[in-house]
This record gives sequence, structure tokens and C-alpha cells, in this order.
Amino acid sequence: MRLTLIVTALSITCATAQVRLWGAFGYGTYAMSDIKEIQSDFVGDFPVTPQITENFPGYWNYEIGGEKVIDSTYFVGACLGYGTTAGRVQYTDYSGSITADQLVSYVSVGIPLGLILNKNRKRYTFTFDLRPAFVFSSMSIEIASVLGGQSTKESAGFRSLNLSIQPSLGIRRKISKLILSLDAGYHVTLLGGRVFLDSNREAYLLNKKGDEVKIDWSGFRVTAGLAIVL
Amino acid sequence: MTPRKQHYLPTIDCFRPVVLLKHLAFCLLLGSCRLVPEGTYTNPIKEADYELLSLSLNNYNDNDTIFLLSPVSFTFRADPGTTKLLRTEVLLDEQVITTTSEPSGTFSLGYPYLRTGTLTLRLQFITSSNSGSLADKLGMETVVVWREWVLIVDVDPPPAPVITHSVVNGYSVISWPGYTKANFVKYTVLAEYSHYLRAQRTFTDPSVTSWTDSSYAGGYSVQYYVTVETKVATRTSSISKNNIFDFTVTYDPADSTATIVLPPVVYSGTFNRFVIRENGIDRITVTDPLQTTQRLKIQSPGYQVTTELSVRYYHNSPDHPIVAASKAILTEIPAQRIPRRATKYYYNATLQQIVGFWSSGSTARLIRMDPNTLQPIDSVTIYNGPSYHVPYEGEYAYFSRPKDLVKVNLVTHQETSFPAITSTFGSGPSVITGASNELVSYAWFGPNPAGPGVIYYERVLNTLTGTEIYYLTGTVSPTPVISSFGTFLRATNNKIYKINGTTTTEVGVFSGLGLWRGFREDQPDEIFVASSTMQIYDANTMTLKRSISAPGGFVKYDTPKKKMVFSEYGKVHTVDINTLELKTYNIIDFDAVIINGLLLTSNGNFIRLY
Repeated sequence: MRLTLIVTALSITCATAQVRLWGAFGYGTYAMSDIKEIQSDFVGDFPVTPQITENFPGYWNYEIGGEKVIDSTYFVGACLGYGTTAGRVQYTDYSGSITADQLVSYVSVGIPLGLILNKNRKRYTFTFDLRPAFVFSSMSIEIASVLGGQSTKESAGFRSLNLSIQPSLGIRRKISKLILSLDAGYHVTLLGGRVFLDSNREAYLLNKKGDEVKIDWSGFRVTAGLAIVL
Repeated sequence: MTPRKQHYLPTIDCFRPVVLLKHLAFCLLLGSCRLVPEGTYTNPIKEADYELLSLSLNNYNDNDTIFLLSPVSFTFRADPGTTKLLRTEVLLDEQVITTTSEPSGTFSLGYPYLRTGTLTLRLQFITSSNSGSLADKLGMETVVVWREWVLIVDVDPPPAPVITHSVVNGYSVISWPGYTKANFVKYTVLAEYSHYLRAQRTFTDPSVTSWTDSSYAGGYSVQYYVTVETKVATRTSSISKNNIFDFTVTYDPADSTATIVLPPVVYSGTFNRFVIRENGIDRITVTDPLQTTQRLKIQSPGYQVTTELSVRYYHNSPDHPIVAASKAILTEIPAQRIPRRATKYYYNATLQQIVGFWSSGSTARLIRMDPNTLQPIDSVTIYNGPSYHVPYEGEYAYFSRPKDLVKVNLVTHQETSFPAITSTFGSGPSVITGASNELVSYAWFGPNPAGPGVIYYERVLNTLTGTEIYYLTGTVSPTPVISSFGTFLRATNNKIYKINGTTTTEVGVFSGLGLWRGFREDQPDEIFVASSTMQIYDANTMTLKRSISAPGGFVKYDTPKKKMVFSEYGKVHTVDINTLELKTYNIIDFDAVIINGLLLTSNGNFIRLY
């Protein structure tokens, strides 16, 4: 489904030169403070002393979108983003293993909204993009164990919705109809939503202190993209 | 510009190979876009070495079969090696009877687990690997190490011992069957005697199956208890022997002899002697237990009383009391009826007869009787005046009439009258005592010729000559007494006079303390005075010659038998005045009279005491 959407977006043809479609991939870091706290709780809940082998590292993210330049100074548009990270607590010895994975991903629906800082330049342009977005997060917690030749696996899914902005500075190089772009920014979660249990939308995740858990995607973002000017 | 459009438009043609490759690369990129964690952490720990585990059970390790005859305690040790001991369990026939978290300890196989039969004892311990592995932490890495033994159990209680009793070599012996199983602990023999004495013996040798009670002498009951104690239980049986000590006695009143048949001595081993006692006094000692028939002359027969005969069985068991039995037998001397009853009885040594006084109205009789049979021989009728006297010596008796004193010969009945008063209005003679020399003393009273009131007179008269040898008047009622041979006079105010022919010589005033009981009839120079003892004074000097004591109070001096007679409740004691021999007679008759060794009972019978 996701693949189909991207192919379709890349196949759009625009009739105006003020409109451009773009695709980008980048690398982001993620705060995930609440989720890391849950992961730490996993460590304490193990009968043995496991190790955190993945601690929600930075990872690749992807975006596609389109925007329209207005008066060669502003641009506005829409974009879809996708990112993922994960955490793992793991233990293995001769008698078996136990693994607790937290697989977290998001799909964001954003609005590129920015300024072209040097609109008179033809070769390189610099941009500032505020990029507000709705971030739809999903998290799957999977606990698997292998013990005495028997395997067990349990999982639970969660969802949440955040409102964020991602102020970014970018540089773009136009080559004929193509524009190469490089953006760097910081993703700020403005409003974190409750993390609801998939199977019961009235249940949401709390930490051991009783505080609501947020999926915080805050972090640096570096994105390289390619746009087609229509 | 158009060519450029033409240049770029085909780039969105999906079906061109270059575009397809781009799409494919992009899709691969997206397909791998999800971060899948792959990190692992392997703890390099090793598995436990289970070869090091071991179990041990006392010294039964090398045995597969254990024979048990009693409850027993085992000690065990589990060596878990490097593993972690979770618990140790003892199972008997698959039933857990002990669980502990310690690697070693003690457990007991007792009731109710233990029962006769074949059981399986299983000792096991459960360990976790203690490796620290995940399975270990989850309690899924445990090992059960066990060993089993076959228990052949015989824990039946011992049978109750069957006790048999016998007499061996003169001793009481109890026997019981031996207990032969290896769980034997001891025999306990307990003897409880009827006098609360107890003896207990313990035998730890199972082959000892009898006990000789060297202390039981018989004559009292004994209860023997035999307890067989094993490591399983105890069983007790008992047997009692009730050998009551007794004897039989028959009494022959003809010779006052009791025939005593002693009981056979069953336990001759403890026999020492029999002692036959009469009224608490040892009489016969029997050292030969076969001499079971004994004859005893009763020393204290009596009248209407019994004699206590007792037999004491002295044995050689110092811890036990002396066995004794007693019987009260009627030892009454055969009584005879008094042929002719009298009111008073006197003994006349000259006639060697008893003289009884009987009276009715103004008539009285003096009846001479046989001194042994009391058969009347003769009687003389006299006036029943205020006074009469039958002297101990001489053939004469004296009695009073209103105006005269009469001397009567008891054999010839010849009477001689003597004017006895000095005034017309005086009383008749009273307080008459006569002597063998025919002196007689008496008293009377009459109006005082000199004034109001009465005046008393006392006199000693020689009836042979009719002369007066002593005379006294006064205002004190006189009680003159002349001794039986007429040699001493006790006059008013306890003055003692010695009579010599026709004169009297005052010896002095008798001051002996006590109750005057008269001159001794067969030896008149002695005076009897009853005090706490019977005191005998010399009439010549009025000094105390000697004292005689006996239980009870002084009754009289039985002159012909020379016995001082004392009495207390139920008993009469006699003391020979010369030998001081004391004899006791059981007599219950407060009004009986003793004279010449005869007991004249109040109901008209008489018996000879001595």
C-alpha cells in the first residue's frame, strides 16, 4: 500500500512550473524518552539481566510531497512522511532466550510552509520551512521467548497522534527541471497524544509512575531530496 | 523550452526500463525502511555439573534393605554440589513425610507412618541448577536426585506378658515369657504391697524372665506388675497374691488354756519367728515354722471379758512391717452360782471360812460358808442393828442392839451382851471392830448432859473381863478401829494407841497422807494408807515402811491370799504383798467382790481368780 502511494506520487505530472513534486529520504534521531523508560522497565522485569541491544536509534525516514512556490518567496504544500525506529531488550544463554522488541513507526501528514530566503538567486536557493504536521504513530511491543525447546510470543499494538513542527533550513540546486535539495531541521513534538491500545481504544499507556506515555519523535532531521518542477 | 519538456516528460513514463529500475530501487529502499532490531545478548554461563550431586542416609548407604523393629530416626545428607538445593523430601510409600530446605537433617519414622509390612523409603532432593540461566531463574531448570530403600518393618507391640507366680525355696517368684525380638528395651517389675510399699526392678537383659521377691513374707497382699517395654510400645500385666495372715485359736476354760494353730509359713525364706502375745505381752516365741500348734495358759482370765491373743510374724524383710493378726477370745473363768447370797462377805482365819452377812428388816444372819465353794455351813441370826463386825481372827462376831453390844460365837451361837451406852437416850453401838483377843471397839452418841447438842463416845471393851480399857468422849464423831489381834487402836483424831493387856499407850497422831484403809489383818502392826500408791506404815513408829503400786485404784487387801487388789476399768490387778507379783484379770463388774481369791459377781455368781 505504502509502495503504491509513493509510485503514484512520483507519477504525478503537473502542468505548471510553480508546482514541484519531490521525494526525499533522510536520517532522523528520536527522543522517545517515555518509550525508553518503558524499555528500561522491561529490563527490570526480566528474571535475568538482559541488555538493551537497540535503544531507539536514529534511522532512515522518507517523505514525498508537493509544494507550490508563490511569488518566488513562499512555498506551501503537502507531504507524507514515514519513519521508524525500534528498541530491543534481549537475553540469551544456553537454556533459552527472551526478547522484548518495541517497534515504533510513524506516518506524518505535513504542510510544507516556508520562505525562500534568496529568491533572486538562480543557482542555489536557501529555504526555511516550518513544516507543521500530524504524526500518526504506531508501536508494537513483541515479547518472544525460547525456553526448553518451546517458543512463545506475545504482542500488543498501540497508536497515538501527535502534532508537531519541524523547522528546517534547506539548500536547493536547480538543474533544469530537477531540483536537488538538502534540508536540516529539528522535529519538535508540540502536542503528544495518548498512546492507545489497539485492541481497546479506551486503554492507553501509562508508565510506572502513572504518567501518560507519549511517543516523542523529537530529534534532528537531515533530508536529501529530488524534486521535479512541473 | 519545449524540447526540455519533451526531454523530461518521458521520465514519468512508468513503462520505460530506466523508470522501472528507478521505481524498483525506490521500492526496495522503502521495503527496507522499517528498522527491525536484530541485536542479541548472549550470557556465556555454563550448565551445572550434575555429576557432583549425592545423597547419604546414616550408615544405610550400602544397604538396599533396612529392617526396622521400632520407630527410628535417620540422619541424611544431600550434597547439591554447585546447584542450589530447593528442598529435601522424605517419602514413605510415595507419601511425603518430611520436607526441609536444609541439605541435611534428621527425620523420624514413627507412627502413624510406620506400620508392619514392607515399605519404600525414598529420600530425594530437588535442586535448581544455580547456573543463573534464564531457565534457572524461571525455576524450569530443576533436578530431582533420589535414592530408595526397602523397609521391612515389624512394629507390632509386644504381647502382654503372662505372669505366673510360684514359691521357690521359700521365696515368692514371678515369671513371664521372654521377649525375643531385637527391639526389646527392658522388663520392669513392680511390686505393690498392701501397705503401700513398692519395689521396682528393671532388667535390660531379655533373657531374664523371672524375679525373686525376697522381701515378700506373706500375710498381706501384693500386686506384681510386669511391663515389657520395646522400642515400639509397652505392655503390662499384673498378678496379685493375697496371702492373708491369720491363725485359729480355741480356748478351754477348764484349764484356761488356748490352743493356737499358726498358719503354714508359705514364704519360709523370709521367716524369722512367730511371737504369740496375750494382751500385748509376749508369751511364746516360735522359731520352728513347722510347730504350728501352740498351747498357751491364759494368764489373765476374767469375768465377762475377752483376752486379746495376737500372733506376730517376724520376717527377715526389714522394710516390711511386722505381720500380725489378733483375736479376742472369751476367756471367762467358768462361774458358779453362789449357793447363799449375802450382802457382805468376811474371811475368818480362825474358822478358815467365809462369813456372809444377810439382813432383812430387823433380822440379820451371819452365814458361815465354805471358803472355796461358798456352800453355807451354818448361820446365826442376829439383830440387824446399825453395826456389826466379823473379825479376821477368832470365833466371835459382834453386833449392836439399841442398848447393848452383843458378842456371838459363830460356831456355838452363844451370845454375850454388854451394856453399851452410858445414858438412857444414847444411840446403839456403832463402828464396831472386834479383835482375836476378844477386845472390841465401838462408838455411840447421846444427849450432852452438860448442855445442848450431842456428845460422842468411843470405847475399847475387853469382852472376856467386861472391863473398859479405853474410853473417850468428845464432840467429834468417832471412828475407833482396833487391829485384828487387838494390839493397836486408832481413835479419834488419828491417835494411835498400843494396847497392852488392860492399858493403852498412845503411840502418837498418825499423819500419813492419804486415805486410811485400816490395820493389816494378818499383821496388825502395819497400817494401810491409800494415796497415789498403796503405802504401808509401821504402827509402832508410824513411819512409812514401803509402797506398793499397781494400775488403778486400791480396792482391798485380800488377807487370806495376801493380795493387794487394785482395779481399773475392765481389769483387776493383784499384787502379792510379799513377792510384789502383779497379775491382771479382765473383769467388767463394778460391783463384784473379791475375797479369798474368789470373785463374787454382782449377779450372784462366783469364780476363782487365784
